[in-house]
Amino acid sequence: MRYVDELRDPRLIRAVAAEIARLVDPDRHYRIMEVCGGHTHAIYRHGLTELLPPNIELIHGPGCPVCVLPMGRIDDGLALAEQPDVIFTAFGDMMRVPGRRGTPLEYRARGADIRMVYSPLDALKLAQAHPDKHVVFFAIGFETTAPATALTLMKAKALGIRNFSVFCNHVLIVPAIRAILDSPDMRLDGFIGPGHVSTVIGCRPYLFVARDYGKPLVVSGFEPLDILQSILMILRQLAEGRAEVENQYSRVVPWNGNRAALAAMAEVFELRPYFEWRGLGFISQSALKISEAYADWDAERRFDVPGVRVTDPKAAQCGEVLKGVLKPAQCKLFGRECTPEHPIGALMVSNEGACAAYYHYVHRLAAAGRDD
Amino acid sequence: MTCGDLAVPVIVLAIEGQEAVCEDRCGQRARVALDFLEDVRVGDILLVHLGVALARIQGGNSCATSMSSVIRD
Repeated sequence: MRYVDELRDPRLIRAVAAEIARLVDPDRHYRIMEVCGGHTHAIYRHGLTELLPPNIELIHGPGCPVCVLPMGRIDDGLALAEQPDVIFTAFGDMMRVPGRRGTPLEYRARGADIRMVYSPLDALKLAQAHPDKHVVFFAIGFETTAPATALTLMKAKALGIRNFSVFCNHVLIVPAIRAILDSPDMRLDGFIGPGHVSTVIGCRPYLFVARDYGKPLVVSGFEPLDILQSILMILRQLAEGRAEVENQYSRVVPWNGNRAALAAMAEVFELRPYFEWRGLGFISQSALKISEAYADWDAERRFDVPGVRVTDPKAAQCGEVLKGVLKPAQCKLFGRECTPEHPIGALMVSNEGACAAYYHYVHRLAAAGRDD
Repeated sequence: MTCGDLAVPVIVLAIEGQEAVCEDRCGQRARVALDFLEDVRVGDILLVHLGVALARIQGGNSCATSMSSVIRD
């Protein structure tokens, strides 16, 4: 398909890699954060670090919503799943995420009615098909995902579907970027900005990164050529002493985002005063809750949610990896106690998590090479 | 994979009210909600996340086109 195949053209990729090598200052160490878990996944999948000079270090950011969700919120969701006459619905990548008493899959094996859905709209259809049950949707994700939840709730209200509610865990990327920039142990030279979040919010919300912190941010696509071109654009800014927000992904991302999606979010959601992020702690105004106008569809108001708080296992160093202080393989548990088959930390659970991506595309291949 | 920042490009085959029948590069077809985009037409390439179209992919500023300048340089 157009917009995919040409962005994996080896000739173009080699040319951009050569341009990057020409532009880097050999006496400088560059630390560039890719904010989004989709970028982390693409970087490892396509082996892009192998194409970069050794003094360019890519730091994996907090943009994997499964990874940053505290275990307590998973326990809260699973408490809803245990309510009588509830069908609990969640995305596929939530099904293996462990709470204190097991994963959603294990709860299902113990009798809870937990079903995987591709879209919140599918969860709403399930509610229509089961009027004698109450369907709860476990909403998770950044601004890419929140519009689909908003649209679903608007349809539920318009159709008068009362046996449906949402357990809302949507989070916002900009407060997380600000928290990272304010973190004393972070030292970054620039950001590869999230691509699909930006189809919704546009590029303007990132202007503070350049204006207040003096760092370049380039909104990037997800193909190999996209990511390499974004790195090249960041390096050019650094070489020329500029700090700007640029849009490499302009074939998809409008500078001002998607007005209709933002309007739907504004109608259905309100800002939470604060929200806990796994690895980053509490960040003010960093997450969404359901607005008063949609209170009847808010699972946190319809049910008695326990409000569980769980401390992460001390041995797991997810927080350090999330902030880029440690590489995945530098965590004491990586590849031993913590694997994709038996994840202990959240970064190993989701395919987009830095540890899972590193395990699948670097660690496993290296281990296979040693066995040959 | 449905959460996070993943979204897929699809081509519009037909439009039925507020939905489009779309096909991805693997030939898989699905119905997509068009509530957040205006004036979608058959043949458009859309970016879809969770069954909802979020953006129309524009032809004018393809990364590969701009990369040609790197090669020429």
